[in-house]
Amino acid sequence: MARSSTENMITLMSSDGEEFMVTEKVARECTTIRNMLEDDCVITNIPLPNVTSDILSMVIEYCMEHVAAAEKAAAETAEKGSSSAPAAAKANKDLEEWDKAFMNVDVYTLCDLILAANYLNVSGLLDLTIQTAANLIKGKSPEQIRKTFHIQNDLSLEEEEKIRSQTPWAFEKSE
Amino acid sequence: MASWSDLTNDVLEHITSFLDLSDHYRLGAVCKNWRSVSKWRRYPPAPQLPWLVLEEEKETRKRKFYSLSDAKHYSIEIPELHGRYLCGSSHGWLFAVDIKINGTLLNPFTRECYELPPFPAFCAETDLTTLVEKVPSDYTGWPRKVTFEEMQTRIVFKAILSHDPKER
Repeated sequence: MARSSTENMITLMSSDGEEFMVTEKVARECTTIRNMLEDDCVITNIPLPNVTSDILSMVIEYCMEHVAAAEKAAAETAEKGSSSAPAAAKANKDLEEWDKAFMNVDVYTLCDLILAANYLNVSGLLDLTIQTAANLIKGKSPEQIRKTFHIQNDLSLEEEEKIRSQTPWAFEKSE
Repeated sequence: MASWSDLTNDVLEHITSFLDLSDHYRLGAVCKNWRSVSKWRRYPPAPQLPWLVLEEEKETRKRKFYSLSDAKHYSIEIPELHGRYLCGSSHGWLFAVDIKINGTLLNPFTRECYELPPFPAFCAETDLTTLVEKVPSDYTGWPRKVTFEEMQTRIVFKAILSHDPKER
């Protein structure tokens, strides 16, 4: 990505003390950080005590990719005077493919990414991760859901029986 | 490392907004935390193709439904619908009339129920028996005696709700 020397750089610090230098534009993809910058425009160093370095680097990777895609689309529009629909459709499809590949993570990482996207308020990443989680739940029985997400069943036998008896049709085995 | 069973309510609720109704119920049987979120149902389930309402099962009297999206039949025990004729559905509510043409609104999943006031033509004074005799038959145009069951399906052809009764 071409970066002009006049662009402001922001340092994000993860919970384990690692520092990440990003452009202000990338940092602004996180609404939480954007609000901080708007409240106090001289801020250059932002500690993020809720996000570990490996998750923060993934969030930054996501934001950079999406900023780059938006910049590319804007540049093409400026060059040609108008955006060409097939090119825009292809760019969208490429970004979707990128998102899909980006979501190829284990469920623990997915959980951490959801929490980070929620905390930093990156709406695109939050939608992507939440949708991915929902897709992992769809059509599964409670046992299968627990296995997928490594969840301990803390309901008593009686509680679970009661829940199932309220809507027995939802727990019928698929034919 | 974060654990899925400890997700906060707002995140779990966000997930449920992408799930359909049957997933929603199954999610509620996973663990205590997920149960509490599925019980609240702050978000409606994700939009899905409507279920088709089929007839009552003869022996069990369970109502049969067919889900187009997962190509599956469901039989659900809904005593409120026994012997009632369904003449419409809107906003997730079923509109049913009983044999005396009393209207009922029922949400088949939450089982909330509203008994509607009598239709003007069928207020208490109306003698249903005389009316039954005056209903003309479809083919001859001459009055003939029809059964209450026939009446039930003929008096109210279609009911549509202008809005969800829970929303005001």
